[in-house]
Amino acid sequence: MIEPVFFEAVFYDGQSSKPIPAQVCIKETLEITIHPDTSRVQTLSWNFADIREASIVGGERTQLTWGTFPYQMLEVFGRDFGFLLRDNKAFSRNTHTTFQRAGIIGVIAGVLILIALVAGVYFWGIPHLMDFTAQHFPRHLEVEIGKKMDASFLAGSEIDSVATADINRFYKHLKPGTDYEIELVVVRSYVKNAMALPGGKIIVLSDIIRDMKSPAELVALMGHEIGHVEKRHTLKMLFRSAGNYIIISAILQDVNGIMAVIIDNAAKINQLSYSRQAETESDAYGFRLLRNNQADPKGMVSLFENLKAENDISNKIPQFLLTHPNLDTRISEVKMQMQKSRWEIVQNDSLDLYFKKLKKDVDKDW
Amino acid sequence: MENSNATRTFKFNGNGGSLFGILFVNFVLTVLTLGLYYPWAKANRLKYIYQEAEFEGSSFSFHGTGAEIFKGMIKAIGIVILLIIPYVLGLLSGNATALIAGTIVYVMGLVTLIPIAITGSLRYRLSRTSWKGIQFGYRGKSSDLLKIYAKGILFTIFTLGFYGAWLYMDLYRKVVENARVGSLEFKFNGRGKEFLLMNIEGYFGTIFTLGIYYFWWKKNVHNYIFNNIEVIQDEERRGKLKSIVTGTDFLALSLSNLLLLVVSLGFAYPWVMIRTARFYMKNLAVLGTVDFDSIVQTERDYKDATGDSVLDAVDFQLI
Repeated sequence: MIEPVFFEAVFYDGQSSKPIPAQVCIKETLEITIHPDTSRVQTLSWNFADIREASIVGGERTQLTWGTFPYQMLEVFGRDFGFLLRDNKAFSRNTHTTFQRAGIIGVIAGVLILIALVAGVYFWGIPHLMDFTAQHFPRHLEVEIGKKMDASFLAGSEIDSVATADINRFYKHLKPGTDYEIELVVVRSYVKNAMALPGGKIIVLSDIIRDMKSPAELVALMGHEIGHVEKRHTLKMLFRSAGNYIIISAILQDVNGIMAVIIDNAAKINQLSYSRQAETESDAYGFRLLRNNQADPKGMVSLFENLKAENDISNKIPQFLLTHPNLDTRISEVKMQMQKSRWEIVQNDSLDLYFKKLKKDVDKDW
Repeated sequence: MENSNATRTFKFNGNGGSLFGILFVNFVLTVLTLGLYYPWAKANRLKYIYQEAEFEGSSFSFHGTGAEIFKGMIKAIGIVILLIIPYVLGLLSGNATALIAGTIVYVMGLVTLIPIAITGSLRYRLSRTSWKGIQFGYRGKSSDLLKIYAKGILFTIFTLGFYGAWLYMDLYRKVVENARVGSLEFKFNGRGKEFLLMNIEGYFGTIFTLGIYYFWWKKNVHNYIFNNIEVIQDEERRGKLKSIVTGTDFLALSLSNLLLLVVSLGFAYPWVMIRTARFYMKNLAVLGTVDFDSIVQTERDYKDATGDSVLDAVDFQLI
């Protein structure tokens, strides 16, 4: 059996400030021998549950109070006592006190919690809050933002008004599958791209049309961009990029402030890209528009292949490095979809007509 | 230690690192709980500060708990809200008379509340303090301070501020003479006239020295208060407090604290607190023949932290 360790202590009985020499030992209770080595020797026993306070003070003494008012008090010398008591199983099981201690562990834990909290808010909280806000943003304000962006976005570009008229005629002959009022604009450009503004305006750069071989490709593109509109991807992206300002403006209930910040950010739209999830969601819309109009689903594949030829570099970068899903992945996803749902392909003369006119319009620019 | 005539000094053992840890954890938890943790944070802070203060080889301790302070805080918030209601009603009515009436009720309420809160705070804080197992206490009544305040504020206005010195001395006398450390009692000998002259000298001295004398003025005030406290044991004057803060030391402390705060962008705050506490403690002693081993437990338990929380709410620093 291990000899119990006795610590030197001073006991105060709670009746007077008279220090009483004592020795203390940790057992199932705290055993206190007062007046040791004298004829007045006496043993007291403090149960752990009635210890009111325990703290290590001045770096080397442990101070304990016990019982009901007026409390008995014990000052134990030797810094080990405090640690022994704190780590004692019987004590920690029964006590209602927490050892007052603060040290490097508390600070580190605090710092980590704070960092985790800030990071959580920044990387998860704000983006999700912004998505939620964008999702519940009033439609008429969304349209208004789209118009303002449109003005600033198209300011330096050259609109092909003939092609714009034809592409809108093409769209009118589609079963749209959206209750957004879609308005298309063709802009002369050497870049193969298209983008969707909030509220239903879709900007198509002429070079992407130039490479198209069938109306189905245009249907796929429109469907994809309608997906961005429906899912409010652009609005979400803008909200996310201006998240902090928007929160402050929202707290101040400053709608004009929110609008101003978003429109300022519209200039950045070219530098921003949709998330992989957003692209996949929109591809589903592209596929749906093809199906609704009984167009050839291969149109989507050839659209992606044209784009792939354009930015072949990005396809050599593994997908996990890109926010944009790799076009190869998107192509194989479309092929998978094609196997899952099949439909009868119906020739649409009106679409063919306007597609051919549109092709001529954009080729004329060269 | 048989009633020997001795100089017994105070000591403060705390260190900035530990206090930083406590304050930091307090801060994080208070933010995370949107302020609900505040009472526990306050209890943690006070516990640490008290337990690191030492006299005659024994540490002080603070027994207050977060739960007590929480209850006090809820009551204090209730009281402050009750006071504000007439003012808000006046504001909402758009009626000038109602607004003035509401404002008067609010201001008068606050003026009345502060002395009551000080009494409550002293009773709570002192009752929660002990040394060598001896409970401290405060036996004053709210009406005592209220009377001194009412008379003092009125006289101070009529005397263009000069009565303020007497008001201060009356307040200190009431507080000191009602404080107990078990069977130990205290007497306060500060005099309004002396205090007034000291402040006039300090005020003009500060102006003439372009601010430098300020530190000597504040040191004089600090020393004057403590040096006028006598310790009574068994109905006999057995000792007195002695504070020996010097102007040079006080100047050095203030400037170095300021420098620390500026250089650390405020993060040195816990260290500044510790240095300040250590400075005042090491310059404070008890002289005389008080027998600190034969103090008898006399004070009762007092658990109501409402007054203390009211002072928190109106940002009134007691000690």
